[in-house]
Amino acid sequence: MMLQAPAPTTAARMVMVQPKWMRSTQAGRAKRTTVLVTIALLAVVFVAMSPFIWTLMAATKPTNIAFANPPHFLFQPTLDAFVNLWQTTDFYRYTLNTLAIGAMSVLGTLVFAAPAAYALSRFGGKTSAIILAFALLIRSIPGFAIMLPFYEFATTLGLYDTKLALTVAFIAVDLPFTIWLLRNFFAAIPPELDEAAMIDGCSRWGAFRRVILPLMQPGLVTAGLLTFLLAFQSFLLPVVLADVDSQTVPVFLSTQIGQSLPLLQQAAAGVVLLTLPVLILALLAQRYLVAGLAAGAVKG
Amino acid sequence: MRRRELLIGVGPSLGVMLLLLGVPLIYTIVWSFQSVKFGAPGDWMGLGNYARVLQDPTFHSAVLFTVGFAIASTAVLLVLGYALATLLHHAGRGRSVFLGVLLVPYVVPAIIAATAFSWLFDNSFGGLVNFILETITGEQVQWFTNTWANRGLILLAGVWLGAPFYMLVLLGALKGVPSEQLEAAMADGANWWQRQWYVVIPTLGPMFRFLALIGIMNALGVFDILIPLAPNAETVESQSVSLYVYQKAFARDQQDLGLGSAVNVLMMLVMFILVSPFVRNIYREVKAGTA
Amino acid sequence: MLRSHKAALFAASTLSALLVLTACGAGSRTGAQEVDAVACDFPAQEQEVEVNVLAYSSSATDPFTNMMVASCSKDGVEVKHAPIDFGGQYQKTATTLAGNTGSYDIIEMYSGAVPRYASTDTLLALDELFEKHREAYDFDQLSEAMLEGLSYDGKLYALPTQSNVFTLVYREDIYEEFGLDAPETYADVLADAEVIQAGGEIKFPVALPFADGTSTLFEGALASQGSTYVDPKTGEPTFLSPEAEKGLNALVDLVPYMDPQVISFDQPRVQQQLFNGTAAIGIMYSGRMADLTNPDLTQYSDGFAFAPAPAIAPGGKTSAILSVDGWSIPKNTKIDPDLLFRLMAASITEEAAEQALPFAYPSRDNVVTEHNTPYAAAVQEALSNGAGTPPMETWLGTMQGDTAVLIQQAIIGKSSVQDVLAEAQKIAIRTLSGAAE
Repeated sequence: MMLQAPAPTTAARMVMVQPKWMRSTQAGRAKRTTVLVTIALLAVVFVAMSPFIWTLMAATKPTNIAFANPPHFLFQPTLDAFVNLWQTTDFYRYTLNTLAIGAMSVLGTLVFAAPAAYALSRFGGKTSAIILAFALLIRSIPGFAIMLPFYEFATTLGLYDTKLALTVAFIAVDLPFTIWLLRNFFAAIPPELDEAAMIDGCSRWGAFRRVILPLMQPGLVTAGLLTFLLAFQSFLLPVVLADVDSQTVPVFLSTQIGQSLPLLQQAAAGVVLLTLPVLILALLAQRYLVAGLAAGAVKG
Repeated sequence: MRRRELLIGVGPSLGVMLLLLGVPLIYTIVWSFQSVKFGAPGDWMGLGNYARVLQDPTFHSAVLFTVGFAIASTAVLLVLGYALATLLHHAGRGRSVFLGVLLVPYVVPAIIAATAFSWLFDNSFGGLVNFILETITGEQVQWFTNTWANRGLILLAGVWLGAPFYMLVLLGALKGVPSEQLEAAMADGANWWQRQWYVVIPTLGPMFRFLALIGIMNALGVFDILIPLAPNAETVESQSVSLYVYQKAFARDQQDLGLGSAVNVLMMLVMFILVSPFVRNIYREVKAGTA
Repeated sequence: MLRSHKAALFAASTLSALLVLTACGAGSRTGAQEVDAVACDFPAQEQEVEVNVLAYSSSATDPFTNMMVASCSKDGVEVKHAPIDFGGQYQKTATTLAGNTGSYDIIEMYSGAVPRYASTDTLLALDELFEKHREAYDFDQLSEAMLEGLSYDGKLYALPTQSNVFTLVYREDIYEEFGLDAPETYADVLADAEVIQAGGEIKFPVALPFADGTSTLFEGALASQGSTYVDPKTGEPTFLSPEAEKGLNALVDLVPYMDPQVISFDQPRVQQQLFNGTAAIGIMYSGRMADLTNPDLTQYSDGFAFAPAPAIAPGGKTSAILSVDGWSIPKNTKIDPDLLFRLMAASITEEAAEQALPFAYPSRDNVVTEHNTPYAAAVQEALSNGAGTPPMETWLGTMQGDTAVLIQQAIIGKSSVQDVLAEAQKIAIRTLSGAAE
């Protein structure tokens, strides 16, 4: 969407308006700028990734020097910590829980949010404005103000520590944001399209389902991805609502950071295992991620 | 679109939000006036919880820390995010790879990222940063037990985790800076700094204001990164308001739900005050059909 | 569009590859294989029963947990346990016991936590079950002191697995190098630390667990002088007594020889300092000691020796504090307590206790010898010397939590010893009156 083809850099554009006699030095300078920028970015990337690189090193060192001080930089790497993590803990189950809760909350959120967002994008005026402003206001409520009562309800209803409770909570918390995000996507689709479909005999919601939703695919993917990430990242909500059966990976790992060796090294391995898919996602699904984060930021 | 159609579309969502967000909120407000534990009806005690929390020195220091963190981290993030966005804006090939990798700290769950971050600074676990600092200066920084060093560490981590988002949003905004104006400024002989100061930054003004608002609101809720980064939060006064609520109302056996709810209500009021001008603007824009 | 589909396809296949990997790991749990299963007798269950166990991971608790998992997962019962750190157990105990329904059926309990949960009626008193099964499991072998350490108001609330005593560990090789003798008092520790520090190799020779053990260290210092938090005669807190001042000073005097960040050290971090050779003297619960002799975890595994926790005054009692660990049954479990009790009892049979050596000091202490447990002498000496549990009162948890923060401030030099004790006295009086209400 926004970052597909490398756009001509500002520097390059500047070159075009320079008088001819300046051009060669300007071109040289532009090249130098690009090289400098690349070097700077490489440095930034290295610094930004250093905690994960260091954790990867700790996870692959032999256990007796994994957290040695002063640290060892040269070592024979081993994957034992990863193997032990897989075999001695339910890490796979926590991963499945995280994925399942994420997927269900995406589905639930989109089912509720899409019609709402569509209606709000087509219906201007006071009512829509109040609802959208209200949704924005809800976003600013501190998490504990919602989650402590949720914990009370979940235990009273016997839903504590179930995926259902977590999913419902995520849907509730994510709805306002997702409605805003999708509403902005819907607003970009010209209303004339709905009208054309309605003239062809579709009802309002028939037009929505047959014409508008298919056009919205990128928007839905973006919103889905973001909703998924919110569930994936959340700590507060699963730490309050989950325990044994629906424990998620971040909460599990948070109860491992006070371990001693060898379990602490397994925690490091867990951190690496969680980071890798994120890296892959950031590189592969970047356009959706970027679009979602940017759009969500602008209006949410 | 007819009003009935609007209701059909919005109704279910509104219902869910009222039931699942509105009802809990009412509970929180009621609890804040009660002496109450989970799973049992509470006893009415008026403003007692508010009086207790406002007199608690631990809460005072939590408020000071949280507000300071919000202001400092937002200021640093705006500057750093702008710098990174500018760098990335000028990047040639490989920009999307750079962008992707830089997003990782933001997407990894904060508590996990903060844990990895804390290991860089923890002597007991062969912290790389300490090793480098000690090799160069011969000094050790007490990242976890000196009040200001610990706050600095939390700020560093907060900036590291938040910078990708600021970078991303500002990068998008940079693309919107009209190139004609830049060229005109250049023709007038403005150097790079002058162009940033007179053209780019004013154009990005609204975006900066917006980012400052959400930055402050996010930072006021800072919670999970403190679990690995501030093991002595209470002793060294680097406890945030949310961590205070978590400890008082949930994680320890005392489970003082009334006190925690009172803090939540106070926090909510502050948030509403902060966000209200923004909400009012949006309300007007939507009503006028310009948003 | 094409690009994104390819990307999505790739992401999907990566994800599914990840899941296949996971499925492989699902079957085997090496943690439980480290012990040989013992007999675990209970009537076969008609319906599947899933027993969730909450127990922090350490080399001393793991043998009992793993024994229960390995021995009792059969005949319709599945015992489930996930590794968790002590902080995690602490938080989850609070939440699982708070409501009418809990997530756990067996909870690891320790002396210091018994009063608050027993007094709020959230744990099941085990006396009837204990009597019922006394002969079958030969409970007369269990240490009397340990049973007492898990009792409140005359009732037993947890079945003891093992006993943790604050114990001193020191690097014998370094002590020999400097011609030092095993320390007996805090003054000895101070003098030895000075010598070792002057040697230049180790900058901060002493590591104490001030993050999670501040109150225990302070209680030990009081106990060494025959004192405790509250004067039994007057019912007044003792923070203004000479014993309290002397005890706190003994800890504060060690500050120059401890890492400046020592208040962030929990026991795993103290362990790590000793693993790394950056500390030469440590005090921890005995259950954390066996790890130090494990060559897979540290290159100094041959160098460690153990002694009772130091006394405050020469010839005085050791500053050891006893904490008994055991299994408790939450009242809000849905599973038949008799079944749960049988699982608990199976994990502490004599055969099981033998397998817990040398990692734990088991409740059947007849199996312990100096041969099979390197720190046994230190623990036995402490026990015979009168190491006691902290006062088993409901105010204990609050008192420990509130005063620990103050004592930490004395350690980092934020407040003076006098100010800290004066403030602690005030808080303690408030805590006691609050508990009396």
